[in-house]
Amino acid sequence: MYIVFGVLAGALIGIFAPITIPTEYSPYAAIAILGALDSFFGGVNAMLRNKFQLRIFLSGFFGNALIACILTFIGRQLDLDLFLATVVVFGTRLFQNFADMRRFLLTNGKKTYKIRSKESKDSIKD
Amino acid sequence: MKNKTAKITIFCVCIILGFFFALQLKSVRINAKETSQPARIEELSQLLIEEKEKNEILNKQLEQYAQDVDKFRDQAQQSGGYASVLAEQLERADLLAGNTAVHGPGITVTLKDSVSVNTSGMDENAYVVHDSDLLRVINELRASGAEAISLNGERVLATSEIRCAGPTVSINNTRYAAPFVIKAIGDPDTMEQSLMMRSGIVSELENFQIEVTVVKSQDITVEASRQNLTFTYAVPVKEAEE
Repeated sequence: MYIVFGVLAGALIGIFAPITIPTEYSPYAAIAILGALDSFFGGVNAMLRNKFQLRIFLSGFFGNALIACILTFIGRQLDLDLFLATVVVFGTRLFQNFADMRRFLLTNGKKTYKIRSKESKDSIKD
Repeated sequence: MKNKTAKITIFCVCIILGFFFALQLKSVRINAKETSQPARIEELSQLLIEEKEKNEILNKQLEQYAQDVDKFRDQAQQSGGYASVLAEQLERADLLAGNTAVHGPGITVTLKDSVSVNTSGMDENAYVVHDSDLLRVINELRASGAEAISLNGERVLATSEIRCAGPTVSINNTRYAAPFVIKAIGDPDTMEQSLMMRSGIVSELENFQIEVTVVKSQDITVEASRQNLTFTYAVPVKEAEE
């Protein structure tokens, strides 16, 4: 859908942009992308259940990326691969969100959800 | 509507994600190419070391063959007749070609880079010994009848190049740095006079404060050429038979 279209459009702009990320910032950019990806999946998950809240999403998006960069930076200073923690956590949440979405979409979740929406306490990882 | 903001935001985030992802991939690939340069340098220096080792081995083989050739020549001389005449011709040709070490009266010219500080603000290059300086000294020596010339132990042949290679001079494909010692066998007085002529080559060099020392001698040795020359392009012209 439009998600794919958006990603493709962004990728094309990235390929043809005349700028490059300098080598020193490369690990930070990588981990920030992962953080953004994770909050992105959280946002899509929430959107599917009509529980999307812009504030939570944006704060998550930028906050995750920021914390990821900070952890990587501290890890480099301490010569300890702290970024591994970030990778593990974001990876886990990514797969969890993805599993939630699958479950939701493939098991008539949309219909039953509207009935249960009052008391739902699902685990959307934002 | 919540969902509408959601979709728009998600769309924008998609674009941003795609952008940074592509940017990161591009940057990593470009940076990897740049950092592979040092690896290239290592690779090249490794190849250089290997080639030098091969060169050593080949040089040793060369020495071995030269010894064998000497043995054959000795045999030819001893066996008398046609063979010994040929052997004598060969010896003479070797002598003129520079393949044998020779000794006799001659002159030694030493050139050293200037040690003075460059105060006149001129180009630094002028205070250093150049290939052109060496060539002119050798030319002068030849003009005054030098029969055998060597530069830093390398016999100067008709095919020897004398060329600047960065801060060093390359002769017979070997590099040497200052000081440069030129030995020439010939009439010492003639050679010295032509070098020390007023506004001759020595006074010109001393203008740039390049230290030139000229020493006459009754007996100096000029080394043999260590190269084993063969002509790949030049072929003897055969006289037409009538």
